[in-house]
Amino acid sequence: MSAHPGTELDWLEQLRQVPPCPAAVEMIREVSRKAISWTLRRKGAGDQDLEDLAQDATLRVLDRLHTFRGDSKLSTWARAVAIHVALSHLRRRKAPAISLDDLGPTLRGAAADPANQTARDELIDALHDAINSALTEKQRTAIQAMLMGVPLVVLAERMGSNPNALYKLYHDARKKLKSALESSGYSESEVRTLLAGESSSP
Amino acid sequence: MTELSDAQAEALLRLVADTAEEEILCEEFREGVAAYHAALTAGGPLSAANQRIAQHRKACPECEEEYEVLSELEGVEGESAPF
Repeated sequence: MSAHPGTELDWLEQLRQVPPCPAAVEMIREVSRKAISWTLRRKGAGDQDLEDLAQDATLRVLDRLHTFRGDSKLSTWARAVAIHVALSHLRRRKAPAISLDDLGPTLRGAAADPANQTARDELIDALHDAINSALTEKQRTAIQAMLMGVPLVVLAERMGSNPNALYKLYHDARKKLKSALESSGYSESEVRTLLAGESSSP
Repeated sequence: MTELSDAQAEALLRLVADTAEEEILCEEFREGVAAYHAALTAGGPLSAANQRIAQHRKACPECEEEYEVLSELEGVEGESAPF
């Protein structure tokens, strides 16, 4: 770090000045740079975009500084911002090339041998029924895209939405599925039990 | 149109089982995750706000990934940082 502001309060105060103190901003940039470099290495990615990402993270920290509540170290809070910037960058780069027109799970056919269906198979059939009966087409598309690894931010762009609205859509879809499964006799604990591999039936 | 694989169906069932009636958004998660980490590291019961962060970790794989990286990095960098 290029300068030491003394205490965290000093650092915050210097960042909140208009314009912010350059040395305090440089400390944020250095914290961000290290966090991004570490994240990129951990994910096996090159660091050719490191400086641009560090600049983006620094600007975000300054822009969001009013939301820092002081219940953690400022450096931890800044690292969380930087990690989000780095992982969002990687997610965009690695987003699977999927056409949304091809998504939206449909009714699956009857099991080949219903006599051999396990309780877990029946649960999965009930999930498919719930997807087809309870969700809108947009919710079906969003759920499947997420399960196929399409990042929220990328999916939001492709659907002409934004990440917050998309998360709400995704949350509403999960609540509808939970309710539909409960109506079919699958409580939350029953689902967990079946997923854990224990034999049970609704 | 495609069908969910059984593995995807099971992943979705886990997410559905972890779904809460009220959930915070990813933006709120990011604003509170540093405080959540500090509270988790300190030990003791979590505040209501931090419990919502913990619940969001279960529901959102992307935010969970970000928390995992933060938690590891704090183990490396955080302890030596004065603030």
